[in-house]
Amino acid sequence: MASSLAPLVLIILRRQESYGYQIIQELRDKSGGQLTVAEGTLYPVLKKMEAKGWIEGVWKKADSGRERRYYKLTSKGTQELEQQYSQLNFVNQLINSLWNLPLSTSSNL
Amino acid sequence: MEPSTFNLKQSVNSYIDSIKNQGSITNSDAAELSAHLYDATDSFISLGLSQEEAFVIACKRLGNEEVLTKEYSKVNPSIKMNQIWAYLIMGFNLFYSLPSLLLLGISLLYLTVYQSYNSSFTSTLIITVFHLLLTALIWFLIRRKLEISKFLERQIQNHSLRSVSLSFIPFLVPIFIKLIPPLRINNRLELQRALNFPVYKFDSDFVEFSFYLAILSMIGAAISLVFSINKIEKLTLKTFFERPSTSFLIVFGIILELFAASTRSLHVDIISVSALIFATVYFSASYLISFYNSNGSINKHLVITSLFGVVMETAVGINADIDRGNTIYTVYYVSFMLVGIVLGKVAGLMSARQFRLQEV
Repeated sequence: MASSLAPLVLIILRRQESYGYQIIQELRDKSGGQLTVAEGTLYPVLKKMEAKGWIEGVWKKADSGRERRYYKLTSKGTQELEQQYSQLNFVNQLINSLWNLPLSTSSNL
Repeated sequence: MEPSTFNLKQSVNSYIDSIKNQGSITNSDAAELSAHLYDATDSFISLGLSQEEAFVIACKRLGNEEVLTKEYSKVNPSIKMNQIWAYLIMGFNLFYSLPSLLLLGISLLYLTVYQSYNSSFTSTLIITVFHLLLTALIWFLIRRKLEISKFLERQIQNHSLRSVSLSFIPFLVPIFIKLIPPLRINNRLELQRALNFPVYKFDSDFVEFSFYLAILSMIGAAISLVFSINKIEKLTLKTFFERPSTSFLIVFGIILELFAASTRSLHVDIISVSALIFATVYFSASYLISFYNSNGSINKHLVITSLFGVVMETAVGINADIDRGNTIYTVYYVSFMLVGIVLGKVAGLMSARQFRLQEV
C-alpha cells in the first residue's frame, strides 16, 4: 500500500504545500475513511520522494509554535506526476476494457 | 474523580523513543513523527476525547514500531551502513584489546601468587584452579554465543555511540596500568617472562598442563567461532562433529595433537600409562566423530583428523627417541593412539546405536 501512496501525495501537493498529518487527513477524507495504511508509513514515502527530487521538505514553525515539515512539489515532481497520471489513466482504461469483455464459457471454445 | 497524571509530552517522547531505539530513524524523522502525534492527539481532543484517549488512538493510527522500523529502514540505508562500521570498530577493539587485557591480568595474577607462595602446593592449587575456571569460562562463553551476539546487536542498535566508545575502555586499560608505578610492566619481555611463570617457575605438572588446556581452549574457541559462522543453531558438539567439513577436521586434528601432546607435561614416568593418557584424547575425538556420523563416512573423517598427529608423533617421536638414546617411546604413543582411535570408533558406534534405540 505504501508505494501506491506516491502518486496520491504528488496529486495532493500539486495544489498546495502541505505537511504529513494534513496529507494523511486529506487522503482519509477523500477515501471516505477507507484508507487503512498505518499513518506513520507515509513519512518514509515522503522521504523517498524527496530523495528522488520530486518534492522538497522544509521545517516551518506554525502559529502554535509547533514545528512541522512542509513539502512542496518540485518541477521534477510535476513532470513525474504528469507521467504517472497518464500511465495510471492508461492502465485504468485497459483494466476497464478488459473487465467489460464478455465472459467466455466452455461452449465458446 | 482523581486528577489525571497523564503527561502528553512524556508519552509522545517515550513512544517515539521506542521507535528510535530500533535504530532505523534519524532525529529529523523522529521530530516529524512527534509532530504528527501532537497534531493527531489535538484533533481527537477537539472531538471530545480525553488527552490520554486521544494519544492512544493517535499512536494506534501512526503504526507500531515494527511497521515503522521496517518502512524507514528501506529509505535510511546509511543507518545500516553506520551500524556495520560500529560493528567493525567494536569488533576490532574487543578482539584486539580483550585478549591483551586478559593476558595482562593473568600475568599479574601469576606474579602476585608467585611472590606470595613461590612454588608450593598452595600456588599450584590456586593457579591450576584458575586455569580450569578460565577454560570453563571460555567454553561457557562459546556456548552462549547467540545470547552474546543478541546483546551486542541490541547495544549497537540502541546505543551505537555509547557501545563503540565503551569498547575503547579495555583498549586503554593496559596503557593506564603501565603508567601506575607499582604495576608498571616496562616492556614485552618482562610481560613474556611473567606469562611463562607457570611453566618455568611454579614447577608443577598440573599448573603446566592446565595452562596448555586454557591456551588450547582459547585457540579452539576462536576456531569454533570461525567454523560456526554458517550455523544458525545453538552451538553444541553436534554442530561441529555432525558431517564435518574437511577443513574443520584438519584444523581440529592439529589442535587435537597439540592437546594430546600436552598431556606429556604431566610427566608420568611409566611409559605405558603416559601413552594411555595420550591415547585417551584420541579415543575421545574418535568417539565424538563416530557417534555423530554413525551413518556417514567415519573412516575418512578419522583418517583426516588423525593424519597430522600420526605424522608428527612418528617424525618428532623417532627423533626424540634417538636423542634420548634409542628409546622406543614412539612405538608406544603411535600404537596406543591407533588403538584409541579404533576403540573410540567402536564405542561411538555402540553409543549411537543405543541412542537411536532409546529414541525409538
